[in-house]
Amino acid sequence: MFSIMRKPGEGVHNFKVPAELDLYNAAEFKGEILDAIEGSVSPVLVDCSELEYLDSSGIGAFIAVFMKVRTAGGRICFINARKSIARLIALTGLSAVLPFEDSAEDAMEYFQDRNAL
Amino acid sequence: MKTYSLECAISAINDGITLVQVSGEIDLYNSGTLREHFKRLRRQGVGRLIFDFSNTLYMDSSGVGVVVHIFSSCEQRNIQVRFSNFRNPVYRLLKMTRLDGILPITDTVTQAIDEILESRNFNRITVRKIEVDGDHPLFDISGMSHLKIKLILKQVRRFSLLIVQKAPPEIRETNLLEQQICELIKNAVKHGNKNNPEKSVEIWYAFESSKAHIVIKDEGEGFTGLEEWNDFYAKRMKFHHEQNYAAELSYLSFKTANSDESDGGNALFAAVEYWNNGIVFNNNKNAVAVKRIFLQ
Repeated sequence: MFSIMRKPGEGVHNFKVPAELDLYNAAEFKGEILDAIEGSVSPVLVDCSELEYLDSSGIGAFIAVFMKVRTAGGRICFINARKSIARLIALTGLSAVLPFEDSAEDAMEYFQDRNAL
Repeated sequence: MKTYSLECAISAINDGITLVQVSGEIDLYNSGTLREHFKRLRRQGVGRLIFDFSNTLYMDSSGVGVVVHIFSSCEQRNIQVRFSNFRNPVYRLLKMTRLDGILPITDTVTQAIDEILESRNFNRITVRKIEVDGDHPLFDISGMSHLKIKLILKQVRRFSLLIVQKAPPEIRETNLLEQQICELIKNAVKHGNKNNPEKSVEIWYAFESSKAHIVIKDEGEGFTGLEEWNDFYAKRMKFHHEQNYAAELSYLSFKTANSDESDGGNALFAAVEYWNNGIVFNNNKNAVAVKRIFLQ
């Protein structure tokens, strides 16, 4: 299907968001991540470097995964989002809720920051 | 070479504002410290930030770079920020690079607090609402282009692209415009027409370089959850302004009995922000009129 990359290693779940995440594939994307992280509390890293088009269904998938990880007491971080994606997240009022960092390196720092939300 | 020291004293002041007092000298070697402090603060979810530079004696271009980074990062994340009390040599550098007109600079911390509180109060008064008024001026469709088409969900993206192609090139962020129009059409097809291939969607549109005006009508029973949504949104905004993070988390997605797995439940949150000139339903609630004014 679309590209969800999962490479194990260093105890972090890695996922890559496809170029388009919208009403046509958001439910499937959400399902695959939720299945993959089921029962795990390892940090979840979601790479948005290829993401060009996101809609409310895609954002809904982000929220669902975020809530799942958070409820389990884990951490999730979205990285490499381009400006237009960050704009939409802010417009939806989620920039204070969904953790976005510039790079994988920053995300690792975030995972280790005990004071972070 | 001498290494200058840079210190940041962080304290919480009134109304959920965090004050960062920066003292020492900011140069290539230590500007990262300021960046790190900011990173930590934004990860803790600060919503209002004031930087006090009254004890910053010197700042070079890398320091200015960090200030600009902080500003743009705050813009992107809806964090309110003010930079206060620049000393003359530093201020001259900002002026020379013409950043004094771009950065939110205040003379004093008190002034910064006032500005932040004022804009917050302003936000509070104008918590946006979806109106119901079939006679609203936004429903005046005279002079607008019109299309009537039988659509199913699979065709929604392609159809939206077709509409947005009519927008003049001066409109920036056309992908955001397309996405917002697509959400409206998706709503009409999915929740209005229940994806019934026999039912039509009507769309009226008018684009100018400074505005986009759209009216969309479906053959459904109307958006019955509208009052509920307004109530939900008002609560969400209240928790957001109070910086009540835990409570806000319960208000991320608006779901009704008709919502399915693909419904994000967040499209209208962006819509009320994006369509900054109004978002109005007709009395049957099966047509929506929206308008955006593009600010230059």
